[in-house]
Amino acid sequence: MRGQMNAAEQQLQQSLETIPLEQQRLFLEVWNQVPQVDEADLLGYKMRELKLAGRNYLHALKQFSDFRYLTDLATHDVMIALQSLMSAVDVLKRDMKDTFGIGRRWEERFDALIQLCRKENTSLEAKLNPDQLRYGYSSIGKLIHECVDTHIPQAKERLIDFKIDLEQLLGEEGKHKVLNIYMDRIALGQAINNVIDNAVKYSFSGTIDHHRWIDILGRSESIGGTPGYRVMVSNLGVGIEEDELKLVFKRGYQGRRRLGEDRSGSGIGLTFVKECIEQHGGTISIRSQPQRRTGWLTVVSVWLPIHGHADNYSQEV
Amino acid sequence: MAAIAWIDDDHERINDLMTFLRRAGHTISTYKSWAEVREQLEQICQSDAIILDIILPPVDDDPYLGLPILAQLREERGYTRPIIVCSRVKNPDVLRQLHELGVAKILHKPALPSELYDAVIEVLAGEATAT
Repeated sequence: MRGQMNAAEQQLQQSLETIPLEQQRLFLEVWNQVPQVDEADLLGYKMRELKLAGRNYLHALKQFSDFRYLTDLATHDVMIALQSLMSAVDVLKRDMKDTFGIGRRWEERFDALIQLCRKENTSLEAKLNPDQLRYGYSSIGKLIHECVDTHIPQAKERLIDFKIDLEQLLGEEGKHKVLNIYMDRIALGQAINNVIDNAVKYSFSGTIDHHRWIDILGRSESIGGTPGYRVMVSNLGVGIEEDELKLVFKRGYQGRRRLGEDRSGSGIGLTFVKECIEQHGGTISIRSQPQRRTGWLTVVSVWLPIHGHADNYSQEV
Repeated sequence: MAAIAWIDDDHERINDLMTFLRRAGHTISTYKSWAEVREQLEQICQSDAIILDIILPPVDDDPYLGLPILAQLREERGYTRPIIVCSRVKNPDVLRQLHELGVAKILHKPALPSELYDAVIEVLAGEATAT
């Protein structure tokens, strides 16, 4: 904290110390580094709102961890505080952009905090009421392509390309058809986005003469007699050491190896992905192996069941 | 400045979301139940735009109470101005019906104040262009 702490800041500091989550880092980053402002002006007022929202959120989290088990009431309180924090960050971001003309780096920090709030919110919502997930039949191929599309600009900047090879299964008439999977499209989309985001983030950058690749492979695969579809996302980069592999799905855990300063993460991404895949009846695994002189090959493998249904296949458009 | 009607039972949350709209000088009237909507339907139909949550407190166990409200506005009242849906709804059948009823934009909760503001400005600009 900067300078002398007031009562509110002391309370926040105490709350922070009890929460072993990555939220602390992001929250403090935003709080500590915003320019000094006069609390009487509009921006100062917004800062107080953000602090209040942040304190409420951290207080709710503390109570939540004190319970040590999930109660609907505690979950709901955390969600409300989280949404309030998200709104406060969003308002502050736009105010700072308009008032101080903050740069892209700052915008990214605010966006990271908002994204973290969204992920946490989705995860809590699913726990609070699993029925809230709205399932329907959707094309898995189309969903993957949409997720890749959102990462192309980010990958292009670092000279990384995508190679996508998705097996289109055969329909009853032997024609290529789109494979539809029973899914909550929004939740599963967030999970796949997260996997692709990690692949881009932890890949080595390419050069003009030698682009890097992220491979996305989709194949049908039955497990224990249940038909399914496996999607594997591979990248060559810093990799994950063997002792870390069992920790990567733990809430708040971040890998030791980093590439540059922009490879920040929330530490809840893969926890959310795992929960989401399992809610869809699927599985996720990660393996990471050193390659000769070229870094580590990391493969995230997601398997999703295909529930037998007439809607599984639709005409390709 | 536009007059906006907001039909949503979650008043605590939508206060946060209104920040930019209010600051820009738009007038926002809120309605939190089916009963309030029925009572104030005339006034709602005078709005320049409507923001609607589809999942409202259940009446007759219908979680998507916003759908008949939307249908009533469009089909019975002939409301042709923009309607934005801001909701947690993910059911594909409901989303399809929203498109059929001519919803201008769908925002998924939890939305951000800036997202809502941008959506309202965009649909109002489209409306201004269209008329």
